Amino acid sequence: MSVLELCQWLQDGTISTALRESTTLWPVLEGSHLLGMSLMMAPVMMYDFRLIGIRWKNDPVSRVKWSFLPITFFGFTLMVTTGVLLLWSEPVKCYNSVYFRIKVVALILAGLNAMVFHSTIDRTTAQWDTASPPPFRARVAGVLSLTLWATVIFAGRYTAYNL
Amino acid sequence: MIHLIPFFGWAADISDNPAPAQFAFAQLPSWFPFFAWVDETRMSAFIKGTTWVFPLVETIHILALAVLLGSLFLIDLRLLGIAIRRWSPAQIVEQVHSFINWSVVIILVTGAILFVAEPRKLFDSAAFGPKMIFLALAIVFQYTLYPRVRTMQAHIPIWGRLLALVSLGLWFGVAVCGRAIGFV
Repeated sequence: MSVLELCQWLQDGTISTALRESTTLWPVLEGSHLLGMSLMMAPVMMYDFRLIGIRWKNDPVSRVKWSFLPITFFGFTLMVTTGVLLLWSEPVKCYNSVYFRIKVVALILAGLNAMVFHSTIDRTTAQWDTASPPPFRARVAGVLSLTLWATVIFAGRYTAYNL
Repeated sequence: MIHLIPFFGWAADISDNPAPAQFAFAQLPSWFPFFAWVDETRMSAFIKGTTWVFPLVETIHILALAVLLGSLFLIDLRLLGIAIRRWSPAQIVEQVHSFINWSVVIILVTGAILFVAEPRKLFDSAAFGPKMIFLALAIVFQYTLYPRVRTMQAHIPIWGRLLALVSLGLWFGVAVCGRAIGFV
């Protein structure tokens, strides 16, 4: 079974059809997806700008991280939940969309960036907790994170236009 | 308008002049010349003639909205005592106020361009009218009462929570009505 056949099979299913054709649930899902985006983006920005060294300069990196991370997780959970359902509602359209593919690649890269950051330079945070600006690699991780999440949002919105 | 329908004779076609939607600008006919004039401008013609301007501007509009709503969430969640208790509301405002101001500017500029692109649709839209009312209230509130948050240190008075709820309610209204333009 190819990925396209899988998408077609999903799309023909009861759940996908019900989601797609619901005039109330679908807008609510999409609205909640946007809400999750704003809930997630602002705290991510705060942490990334601290890593780059242009916000919260007088506060330790770890304190900024643990103050904002719970909100990020909450927003991220909301985004993934609604995002999976939105994808479920029109998998074939997403499969055929160049922008959706860009979005998936950017999401994977954002995840990899976070994983590499947390498994390397982030382990030594205690040594540069109050440094402003932080070490070069931390700043790179911050810039990459901001760029990739902005790409995810751009590509996500563009998936909905039939360009 | 009267149409000649073959085999069925003359009939009034009510779909030509549907009643204006409730809360649409179309309820206020005196505004029509303005919307029609915007529709005739060269800028409007330019945007309608391209396929790339509208999506790009709308995406920037939404990105800025995410930054604005997100930044307000940080302050308002703190005011409500839900998150970020390490810093006072005043300290959080200090760090995010430039994000708020810049995203408001970007939202207004990109929003004006989007308006120029399709004024006639917005004139008839049931969601655009309420959105403008929410927007006017939100902007006035944001730059008159809301700055009081800057005075709040560790202790948050009861009206601090009220500020948070009103702020969230008004900007939510703007966002929900804005999204609804695409649906209703």
